[in-house]
Amino acid sequence: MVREEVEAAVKQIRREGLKAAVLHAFVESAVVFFLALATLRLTGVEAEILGYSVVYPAASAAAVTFFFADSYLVYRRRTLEYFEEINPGVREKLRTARDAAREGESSAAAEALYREVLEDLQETSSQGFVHGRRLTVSLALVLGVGAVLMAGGTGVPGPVDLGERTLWGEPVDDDFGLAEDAEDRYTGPESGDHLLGEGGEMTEGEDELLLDLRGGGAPAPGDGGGSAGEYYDASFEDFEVDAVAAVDIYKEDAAALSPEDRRVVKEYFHSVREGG
Amino acid sequence: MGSEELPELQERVKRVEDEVGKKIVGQRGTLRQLLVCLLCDGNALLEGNPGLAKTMMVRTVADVTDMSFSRIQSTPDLMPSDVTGTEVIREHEDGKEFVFEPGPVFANVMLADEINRATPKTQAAYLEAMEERQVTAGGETHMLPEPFFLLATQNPIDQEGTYPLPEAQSDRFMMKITFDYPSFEEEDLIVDRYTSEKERDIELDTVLSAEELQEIQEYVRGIPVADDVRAEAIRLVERTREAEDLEFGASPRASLSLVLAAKALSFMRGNNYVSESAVEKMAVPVMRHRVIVDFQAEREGVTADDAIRDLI
Repeated sequence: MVREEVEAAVKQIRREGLKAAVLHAFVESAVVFFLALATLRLTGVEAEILGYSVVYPAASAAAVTFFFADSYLVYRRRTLEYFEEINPGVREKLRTARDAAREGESSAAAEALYREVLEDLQETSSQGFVHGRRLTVSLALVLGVGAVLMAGGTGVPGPVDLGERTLWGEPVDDDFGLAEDAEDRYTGPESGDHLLGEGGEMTEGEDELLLDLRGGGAPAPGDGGGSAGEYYDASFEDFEVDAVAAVDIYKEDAAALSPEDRRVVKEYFHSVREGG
Repeated sequence: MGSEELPELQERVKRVEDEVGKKIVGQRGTLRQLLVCLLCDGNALLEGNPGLAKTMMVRTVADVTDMSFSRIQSTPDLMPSDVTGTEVIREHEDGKEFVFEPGPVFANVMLADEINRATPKTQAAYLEAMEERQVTAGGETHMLPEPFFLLATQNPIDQEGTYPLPEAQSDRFMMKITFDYPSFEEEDLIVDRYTSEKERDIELDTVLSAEELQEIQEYVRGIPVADDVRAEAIRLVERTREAEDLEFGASPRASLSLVLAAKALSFMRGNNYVSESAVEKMAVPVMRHRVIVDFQAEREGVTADDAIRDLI
């Protein structure tokens, strides 16, 4: 019974070794992916298959290959012997118990050893399987290379000069989209200022319009000329044909009126007529 | 024997050391090697200059382990029957008959002093008893008591008129344990102790029975050895066969003895496994009498111990 427990403990230690190997390989394959990507861009590899760039697939393939190779190699090193090295207190007895359990030894001494090893294993750790310094360096590389790639991707000047293309294979946009042809290339939202132009002080607006309404040749009311009825009749009939002429305003001012202003004037006259 | 008893038994072996220490001053390393031999159910060749308490140590170990002890001083005229026993005529009411009279070999611990002074024929009688754990006399086989240890002493000086053990026979001793001169402080204590009281006045407690010793022997054999440690022990023995300074290397029997001795030492250290250091520690006493130093190396002062240490 105790022998089976020792065998299980040994298997558990091996599993811990595998976990550590996968962890190392995962982080390091991320480094390989980024480095491969950067290398392919730096060397200007532009190969395409069926119109698609092979840069990403190539970098991914390199990373995946490295992942499996590194997992295998690290797992080979993270053996029970390695566990014994990092836990020297149990080194010899664990090795002996492993061999004895495999050979099915069940002497009193072997049974005592199994129990002793199981107790000792509760006080040992497999943390040493994870190589802290190596993992830290790998993570730093991932972050560093990742930062460089991000800088390359946005065109921000960085330590890597990629020429006219970003690491993502796109043209470098050095003027942040403000070049002359940027409008043609860019289809997304634009800034309000760009659309409205330069701002300036605005005067208070008013909807009152002062018009001098007089009939053709007829005196205005109060001028001592013709009657008011004559005045209005004569002017309103002709207004719709040529409002400017009808109201007798200065020609240059009438010509300056926009169609909208004309519509306002026309509505005003209608309201006056109906109200009058 | 349950494993729960292990610490207690290890403690008893430790007490054997302490009890023997009441009589034997110093020589702790030598004593431990001797106990290793007992725990392995092996026989030992003790070598040292006269007056280094070889005989006293063996007798004291026998006393504290509650085992019967016998001693034979080997001489050139010693006959095999003087060792094994012989048939004698005894008179009864019914008449006379041959009765086997056991020799001194019928003891748990037998000390053959200066074994190299016995003739090869008598040496063979010792070694047969040691190997077979039985003696044959008058056509009858008589089993030796269990446990049985044959501890033989040799004197490295004064070799005139001796019959050095042939390699094939010395190979049957599990270990060759050498006795060194004590340090000044140890010798001072020896002088002080044995000039103020007699040896027999020092009382010893029996701390381990023969049955318990046999249980421990069984336990020791069951101590597991890691594959690579065992392989390293075998490779170490193999290297003696190819070593430049050695004319003759150790036999596979040395590999057996080396691993077994390492197990016993591990037990005495309180371990249930054999460490590499235990193998290395036992290499010299287990192999020193099984190798022959090359003439050229010997002329340069290289000893068997030196040659083996170079291989570790």
